[in-house]
Amino acid sequence: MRHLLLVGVSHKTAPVEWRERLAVPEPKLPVLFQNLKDGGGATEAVILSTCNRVEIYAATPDAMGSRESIRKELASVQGDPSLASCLYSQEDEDAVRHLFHVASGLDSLVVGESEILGQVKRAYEAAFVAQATGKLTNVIFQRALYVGKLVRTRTRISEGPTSAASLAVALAERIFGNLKECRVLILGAGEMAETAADSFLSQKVARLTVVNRTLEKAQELARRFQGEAAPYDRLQAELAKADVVLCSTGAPDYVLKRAEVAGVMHQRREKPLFLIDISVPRNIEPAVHHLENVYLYNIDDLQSLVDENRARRQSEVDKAVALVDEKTQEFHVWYDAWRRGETATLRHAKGEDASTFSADAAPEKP
Amino acid sequence: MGMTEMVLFNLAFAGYTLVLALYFAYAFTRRESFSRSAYRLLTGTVALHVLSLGARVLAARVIPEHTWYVPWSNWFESFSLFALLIALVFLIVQARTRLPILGVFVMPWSWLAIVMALSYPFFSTPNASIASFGGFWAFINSAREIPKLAPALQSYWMAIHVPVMFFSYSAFANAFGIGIAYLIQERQIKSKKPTELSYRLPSLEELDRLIYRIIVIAFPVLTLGIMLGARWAYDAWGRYWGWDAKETWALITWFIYLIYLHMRLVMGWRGRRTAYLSLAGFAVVIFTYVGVNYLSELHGFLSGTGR
Repeated sequence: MRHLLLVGVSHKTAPVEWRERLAVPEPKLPVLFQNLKDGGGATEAVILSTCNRVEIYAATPDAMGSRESIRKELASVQGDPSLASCLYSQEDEDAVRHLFHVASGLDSLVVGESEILGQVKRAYEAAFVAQATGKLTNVIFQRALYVGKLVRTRTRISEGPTSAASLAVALAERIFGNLKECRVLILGAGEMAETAADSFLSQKVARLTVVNRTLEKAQELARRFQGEAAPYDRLQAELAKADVVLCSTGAPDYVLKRAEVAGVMHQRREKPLFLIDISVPRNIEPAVHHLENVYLYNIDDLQSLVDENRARRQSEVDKAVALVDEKTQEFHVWYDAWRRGETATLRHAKGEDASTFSADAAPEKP
Repeated sequence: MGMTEMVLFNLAFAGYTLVLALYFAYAFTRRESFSRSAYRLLTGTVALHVLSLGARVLAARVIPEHTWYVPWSNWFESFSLFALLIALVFLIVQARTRLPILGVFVMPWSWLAIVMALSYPFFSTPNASIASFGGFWAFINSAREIPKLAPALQSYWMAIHVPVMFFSYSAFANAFGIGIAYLIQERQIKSKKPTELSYRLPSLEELDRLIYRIIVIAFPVLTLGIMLGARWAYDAWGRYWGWDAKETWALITWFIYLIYLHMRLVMGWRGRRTAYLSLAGFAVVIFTYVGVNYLSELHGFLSGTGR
């Protein structure tokens, strides 16, 4: 009788320093797979290693024995047996439920985040390529990817940006559509602006310009973002060319006033202007927002929307957990039948995907 | 009214209704299967509608005076054409932009035009008493009889002037619907509390540019339509322009869209103010189209007072 065994550590059980030490770098994977087979008695294994968790999923005929040896194995790979104390382990149905939770983003730091689904996929693919997977892990991981997608489409758990920076990008997209033709102006060299600038850069904006009171600082920041720097007296001209302005200076009062922006709008022929004021105290006069085609959001505006999104995601958790439970039980029926040596079939939900999921089917090529 | 035409038109009506329902279903569920079916069904519906117009021409040609009969000579027919062209322009907009959410903002006008076409008897005989459903159906269908053409309408200009005008009107109807979408999106973002709705609508810039593109194409068409009308007026009444109510209001419509283009291109207006101008333009279009029939002695073809 084969069992599914999970041994791991996550942000819920261990601080980041411990997780760092347990993290399995990709080159080490083949050795670890081999050790799990030889020393751990695992016939199949998948290793999920992200910055928030390190988990080993293994199929083994002897759950009790394997658990201890895998614990030791994992710790010893990192050269510190004492780490074994913060590991958790689960078996069979509980392990499956846990994997489904993880894939759905229910076990993540930010509920519903979508990166984890890709990480689960890559972990499975790496194991598949290393020929460490077998029937059980193939079926479970493909099922987990399906459940992860299903939970995100059926519930609103992944909806809405959950950071001020990604929210600013989402708002810019509401105004300009595709950001590829957008020009971003960074006003001031504050740290907050950098995070936001990063999010905009990831959308491949057309141009990024930094304006700062001291030109050297602007140039330094511009180099890091592969943008351009402009002296402060060119601010008016740069505003006329920009679409999105990220403002984060250390100035004690307004650096952009209504009259100035009104003048700029005339120069830009009323092309919409999106101003993001992430400085405290505020650097852009709030009345600017009342100008036609000008949209000003300050850090509080962004934060309250972020809070709203997080609250909404949280309120969807129960629904998502119920869906995962349903899918876990469904899976368990298959699992039981399979362990008894019977043939069983798992299906995708109606309307989600027409393809049937047969346990006898070969795993998808990664 | 021939049987074939009757069936084709009824099917088209059912089609428009279902298309509208599908677009709303898409807006609420975001399922692409709905928007895809809506697009396909709309294509089919437009084809059926065109066929029904063809069938109507064939049926009308039986009357010997109807050499120049075209299926847009009275209230029912012109609203039917309006619905068809709004849908057709929207199909083009869809093919170019792939923004199915706009169906929610444009297709109601097409559907409403069809309903207006069928509701003529309520306007012509408001005091009619209807006893049964059969009576109701017969009452409605009385609008669909093939009309006897007024002498002024028995001209080949009928086949040229009217469709050109209606094409521009239909494009303006599309711009009107999209303008409403723009204003909703603008309000969402200005409010600093954008909801789910904001994420389902296209971006401000997309909407703004789309409205402009439609008007910039429709405006020359309107200009051409008015010029063709003047030419026809010369044939029919012996003068190009006579400040008949319809002529005057068509000119007002033309001026409003001219102002839109002027403000946008010369004065650099964008966004909300131009969106309001396009809304006002369409309101005048509707008045020129329907309201004026009750003012104009010459153009009262819809209300049966035209000469």
